[in-house]
Amino acid sequence: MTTKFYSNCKAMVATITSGSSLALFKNSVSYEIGAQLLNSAVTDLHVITVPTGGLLIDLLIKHQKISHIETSGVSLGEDGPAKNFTAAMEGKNLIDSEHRGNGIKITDATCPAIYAGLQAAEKGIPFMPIRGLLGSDILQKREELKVINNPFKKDDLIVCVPPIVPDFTFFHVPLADSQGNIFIGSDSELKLLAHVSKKTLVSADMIVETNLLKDPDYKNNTISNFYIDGITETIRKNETLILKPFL
Amino acid sequence: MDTNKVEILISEICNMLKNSNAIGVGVLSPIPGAASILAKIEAKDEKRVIILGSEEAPYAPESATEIFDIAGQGKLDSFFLSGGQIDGQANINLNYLTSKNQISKRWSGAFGSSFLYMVVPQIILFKLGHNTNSLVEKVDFVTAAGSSDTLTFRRGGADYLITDLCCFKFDRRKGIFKLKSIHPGNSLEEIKAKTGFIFDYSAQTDTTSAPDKIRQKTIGEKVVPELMKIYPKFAMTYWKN
Repeated sequence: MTTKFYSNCKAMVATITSGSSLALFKNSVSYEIGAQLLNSAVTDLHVITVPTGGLLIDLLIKHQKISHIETSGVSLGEDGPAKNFTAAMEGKNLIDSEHRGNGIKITDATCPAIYAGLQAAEKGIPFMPIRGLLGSDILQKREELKVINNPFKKDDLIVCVPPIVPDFTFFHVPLADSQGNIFIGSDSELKLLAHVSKKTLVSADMIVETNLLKDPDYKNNTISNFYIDGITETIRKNETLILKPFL
Repeated sequence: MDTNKVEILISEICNMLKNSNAIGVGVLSPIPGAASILAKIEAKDEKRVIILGSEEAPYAPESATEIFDIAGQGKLDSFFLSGGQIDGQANINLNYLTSKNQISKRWSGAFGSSFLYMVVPQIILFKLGHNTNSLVEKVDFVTAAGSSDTLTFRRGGADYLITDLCCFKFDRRKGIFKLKSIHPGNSLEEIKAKTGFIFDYSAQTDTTSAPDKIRQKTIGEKVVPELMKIYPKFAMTYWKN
């Protein structure tokens, strides 16, 4: 597989197609990518927040890019509730908003269930069992979550989560190399996302000539270009300034 | 709330953590976060405290899944949960309110609660804004269940519920809260009027103790600087200097 290098964020974002599923890891998306996504003509996205979302998700909702959101939570942290997210969910018929949806469909999750779905996809297995969720209304609302008995122990119910395979994922890293390998630093879950997504598109502060996989300082936290479909170089700038026109 | 009240809550939660070696703090939890930092400092660092949202050692998680992984294994002793609604059976609602089959109020979502409530032995429920809308007889939506039947794997569950008015202890066997202490300046009558669920109480309920001078000094000199890095707005609101 050859990693494609894009001259700018706009060109890389243009590869995403309307109606796709898009996984976004917490706040790891470059806001330049976010701004391009908001500016683009893309619509009808099924966004999976891994496992939660913030300002960018709220703005994607405001600018009508999302038709389905699968999330464990959307919040602006100390800045308060994500008002576009909450407004989009309020006043809706319960059945419509959760299962059919004229506006935005929401699939409520809990953080480890999203990771479990990605892990099932990574390992190529039909489901990942997880503890918890029993007795929660989230389980009641989610038909695709199944409860089975632990095959190794009597009377031990456990929830099974099906695989989550996103069409696209975007995230930002500090460093990439000219072969398409990317250094992710401490966000080890980005490996999981890159392994399972059909297309992994990455923005990097800097693209260097040195092969990161051959550099002892970087190789352990570097993802091979085998998993990386696109890279573009962009410095992670002041977030608020870039997103201000969309607030 | 004033700074004194905030420090009483921090101090009381810290007391609840004395037997915990590994403590997790979720997002949007500055007071539990401060209490956990205090507990770690008072234990001369002999506690592991993981605060989601922290980006610096020693409070930053090793990875985004670390807290769920160690909780799943039973290595996390305590965690904090809140809710837009909490009911008398310790069920919590972080998703939404309903009215006439419609969503009348939406909150952020479950985060890790539906999992952590079941796998962490000690859950401390925390709710500011103690009133009959938030502490209810029955939640509109069960994000995470307060109790489970015998077929359900569960290591523990709710231990305490602390609010801006008082502290309750949850009796897991009976499935009911018992009033443990009333914060200085608040009264049993006020708590009865502002609580939407039935709870046990004694007419001679203790007053929640305030931190002593040494603890107050530790909060001001050692906890607040750490809190500034994780919850700057909160820290600036209560400790301007």
